[in-house]
Amino acid sequence: MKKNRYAKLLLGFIGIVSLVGCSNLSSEKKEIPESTTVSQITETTIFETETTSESKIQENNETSESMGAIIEIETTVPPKLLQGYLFEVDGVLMGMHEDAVHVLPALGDADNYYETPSCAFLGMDRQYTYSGYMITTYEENGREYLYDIYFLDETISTPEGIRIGSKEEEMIAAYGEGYIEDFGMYTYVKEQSKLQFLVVDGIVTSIDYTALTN
Amino acid sequence: MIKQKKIVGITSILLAVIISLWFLQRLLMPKYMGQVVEGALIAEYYQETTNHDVIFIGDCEVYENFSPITLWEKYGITSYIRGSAQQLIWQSYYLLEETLQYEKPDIVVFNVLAMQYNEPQKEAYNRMTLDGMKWSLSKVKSIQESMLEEESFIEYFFPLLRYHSRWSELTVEDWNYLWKKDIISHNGYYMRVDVKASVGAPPAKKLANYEFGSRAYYYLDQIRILCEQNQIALVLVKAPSIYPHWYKEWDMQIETYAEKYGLLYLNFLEMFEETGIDLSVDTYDGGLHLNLFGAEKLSEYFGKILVEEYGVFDHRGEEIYDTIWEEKVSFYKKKKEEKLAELTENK
Repeated sequence: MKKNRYAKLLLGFIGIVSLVGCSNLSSEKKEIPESTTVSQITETTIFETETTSESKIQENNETSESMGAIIEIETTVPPKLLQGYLFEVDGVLMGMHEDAVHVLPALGDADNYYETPSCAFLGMDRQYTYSGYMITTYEENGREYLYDIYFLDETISTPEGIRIGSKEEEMIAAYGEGYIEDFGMYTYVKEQSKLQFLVVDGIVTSIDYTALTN
Repeated sequence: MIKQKKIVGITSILLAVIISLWFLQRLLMPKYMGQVVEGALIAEYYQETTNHDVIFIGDCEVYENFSPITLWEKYGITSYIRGSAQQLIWQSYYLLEETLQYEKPDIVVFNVLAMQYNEPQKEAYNRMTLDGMKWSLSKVKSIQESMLEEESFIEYFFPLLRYHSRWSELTVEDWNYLWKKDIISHNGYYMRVDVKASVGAPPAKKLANYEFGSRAYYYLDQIRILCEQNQIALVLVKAPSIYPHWYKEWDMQIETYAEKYGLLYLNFLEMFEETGIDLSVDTYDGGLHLNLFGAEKLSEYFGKILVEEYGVFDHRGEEIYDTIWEEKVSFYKKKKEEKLAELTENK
């Protein structure tokens, strides 16, 4: 009788520990740093391709799919997000964390395409360079999202009219005083994005949109 | 009598609970035996039975670019790579501190790319370095330095608390490697034999401040001082990986540092001609990491420097090393053949 009681107590204890653990910690919504999450680290490549942006996205999804249970695939395309600081080029409006399917096909073939290891998202970062700017995407749940837009020259500008070569006062007039400045880097934050201008000798020398991850 | 029975009963329950939790933890922790093996590298070091002349510390730029087997075959140098994915400089320091509890090498080689990080970056990378370490004061300090805001020490001490929700994602791998893992590295070297030619890297972004952070410098100092205290020569290297971008401003800082303290600094990005590395054939991922052929070339070149500059002793012919390294070489060649055959099959 007593043995049975001990056995029941033991089973009960383990059950409670498991359940309590799961209910408490699963609510934290933390990413599990499991081995499979970082699989892309070992498969990083840098290469150019002539593949269209659209087909690249499809390929990405297939890759993820081939990993079976490793990466959960989002099969439905999320609606356009358009949050935070927006960038517009060739009539395509885009913001950070935007699903790439809304952006890359509309931009046409990139001049160059690279794949590099992702530190921020652990998966693969993909860089697409176009005339005057570079778009970096991250991968999550088998889909590609915009992570960064970096200006490569003065041929393009932000929707507010600031380009490489603009004056510091023009930048402040366009974006206001709500910035944080560090070593000449002016950072503006809006929703899940930040917009950074590097100012040297009163002239904007670099413009960068980046997705905020937390 | 009844009291004794009660004590036995309670003790049995406690023991059973502990064993169950230990088993669950073992089952639920990632095994790093499948697509991602980097998380298994750190723990493999503890299986070593002999000392090493050279210890490498650093990120993927050491464990994918240098081959200890080549150093042995060409020069009789014994070496081990204590590398892990995105190993941060304080993690390198504490790994070195821990390594010195086991052995005292003649030379420590540190890859300087990690100087770019002044703050912890990502839990998954932390885990790949820290979970594999045996418990020691070095591990405790490394965890404390590495933890992100959302992490807690208790989850490192009892990984079950962190990995418990993996129960629904368990795979065959978790059961197959529950008790014993395969050896996946060759003295810390991660072998790849495939080829993907480099065609350049994405444009490098301008930085507001190219100065390495104070924390990064602090730990570089700590590594140097630890080496000095133990009469170990410290060699700084920058592997010939073209991405992430290695800025010339960073390079100059390391050059200045090396000059100030009389250290050897080798930037292999500027030595393609000397090493013979050709990124059209010697890399498996377009120039981020070398494949086996590139790693062997780099190791052959580097080994010569170690012998000429530091007079590292040739251990070939010493019974204690010959037997062990013969096995290592044989395992290396077997894996190389297997991987090459696999590559041919997949073509």
